[in-house]
Amino acid sequence: MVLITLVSSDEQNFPVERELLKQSGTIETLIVNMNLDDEDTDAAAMPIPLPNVKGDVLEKVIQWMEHHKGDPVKEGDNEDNNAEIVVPQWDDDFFKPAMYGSKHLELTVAASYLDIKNLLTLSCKAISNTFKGKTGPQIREEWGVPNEFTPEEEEAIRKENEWSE
Amino acid sequence: MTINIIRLPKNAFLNILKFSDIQSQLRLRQVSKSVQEFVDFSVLQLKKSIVKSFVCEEIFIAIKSPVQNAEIEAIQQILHSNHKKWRIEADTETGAMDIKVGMYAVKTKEDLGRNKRMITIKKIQH
Repeated sequence: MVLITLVSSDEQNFPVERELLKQSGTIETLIVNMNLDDEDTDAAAMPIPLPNVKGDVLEKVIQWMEHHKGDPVKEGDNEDNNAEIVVPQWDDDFFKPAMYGSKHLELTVAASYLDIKNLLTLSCKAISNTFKGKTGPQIREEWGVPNEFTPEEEEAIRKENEWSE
Repeated sequence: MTINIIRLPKNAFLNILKFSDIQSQLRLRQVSKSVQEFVDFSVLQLKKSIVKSFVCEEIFIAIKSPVQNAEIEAIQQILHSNHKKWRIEADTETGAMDIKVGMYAVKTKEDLGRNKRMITIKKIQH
């Protein structure tokens, strides 16, 4: 089994099975560019730095990739299947403890940076699921978004949306 | 490092919007100005029915011609969420649209260019 070492922004090393890394478009490109698949290359001696991903987030990403090893990649931007995307129970349990906090958002940012399509899709779907049945102010409070509206603006936009309530 | 939801990469936020139903998209517009601007901008990027602006009794929807099934579905969702009777028929081949909506008058403008039409739905009874 070939192991490739990923190095997080806080310089933690994570030896990861080569096969798992096929889920990440970004890492796959780096592996190709660094010739890490060549027989002559000592992949173990050439760690891949990931300066945009912290160690605790990278650990979660690897945990997710281990669980989803071998899964086919589902494209999230297919308009026809957006409604059909269901967050599986394992993923729901995986996301839930960090939901509404910066950890889940950091995981989403990492999925985007590392180009892990399935993780990005499920993570975004899990976030969108939290909006269901909530009002704007409730979403704002749950996700800690600062309120930039004046009371007048807030009232105006509430009236704009009144028809849909 | 703390990441606010409005600091997510645009592709992630766009995904979130696409996965949200129209009512959630509308409610997101009430979260903050940044989110409101992004939602309004992003729906223009989505190749579905585009809910351009909402006024209490008027709904403006820019659509592509010929009309797409997804667009019909989106208009149906809007009207349905407004708890009114509606019926909508469209010819997806020719783009011809015959919209009969119980309490609404529907007008289309063909002059938006780039094969887009603006549909205005106005409530005519209370």
